[in-house]
Amino acid sequence: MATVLQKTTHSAPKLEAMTHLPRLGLRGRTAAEYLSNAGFIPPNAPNRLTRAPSGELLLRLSNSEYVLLGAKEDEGMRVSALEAEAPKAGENSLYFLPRRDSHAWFCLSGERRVEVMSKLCGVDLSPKAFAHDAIAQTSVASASAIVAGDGQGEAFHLLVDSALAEYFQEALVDAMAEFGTR
Amino acid sequence: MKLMPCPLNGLRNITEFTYGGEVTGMPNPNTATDTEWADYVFNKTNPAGVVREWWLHNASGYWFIAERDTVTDHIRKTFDPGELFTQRVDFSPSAASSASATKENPL
Repeated sequence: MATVLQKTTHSAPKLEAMTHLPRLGLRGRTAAEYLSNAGFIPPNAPNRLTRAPSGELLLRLSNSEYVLLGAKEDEGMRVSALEAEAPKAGENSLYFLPRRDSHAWFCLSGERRVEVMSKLCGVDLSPKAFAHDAIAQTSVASASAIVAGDGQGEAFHLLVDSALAEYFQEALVDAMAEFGTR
Repeated sequence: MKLMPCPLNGLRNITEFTYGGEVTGMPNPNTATDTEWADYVFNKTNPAGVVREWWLHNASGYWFIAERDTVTDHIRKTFDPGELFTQRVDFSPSAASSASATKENPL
């Protein structure tokens, strides 16, 4: 089960630690083809994501780099299975990237999540400027981070250097404090 | 606030970027003399005017090229390096350096 890091009122923002869930990076000329064969739909442009019916998020970070985030519903089993089948690095121009070690993962939800993020991030993440399937690779609380929608317009997924996890969590909780948390 | 247009991520605060030096032609590492290689690695032209430079967008780890006027600090355009570099360059050690490395480190 994901850990809820901050108790909230009904409409207040909620922060969940998702770092325990599997996630996987793929890079290379054949990465999109590999993901398609595995049953995922690769986004058709960089900085876009697709949401699988089973809940996984597939983030396209550049022309040939992807990050696959496991679904909370099945504790990321589908991504774990894919991870276990990792081919030899460079085979067919495909490289698996161990994102579990490199990135901490948080999920910020609630109606006022945009206001929370506006205190920490220079990119406009309001619905009119930031689609639910959009990604912003930018600076959040002075740390390089990946901000991704959830494909449904209900939450932001945040990936940050794992060494900054504690600092990043404190910065988010601090930013959330004025929005009705208790 | 100074902004820079990243070809991958769009307009961003300049603090999200790191300068990576002038774009210069690389001599063939297998045939260049030490003087030519040192000139490529260490010496910069540093012209007053429009220059092509490498820039890194830190958050995405994306390297791109910018055309910037060093007099006015105006960024004329930015683009993907794939427009200039169309072939992969593999660095295979020369026979001499391989033998040297083997001699120094038998493992």
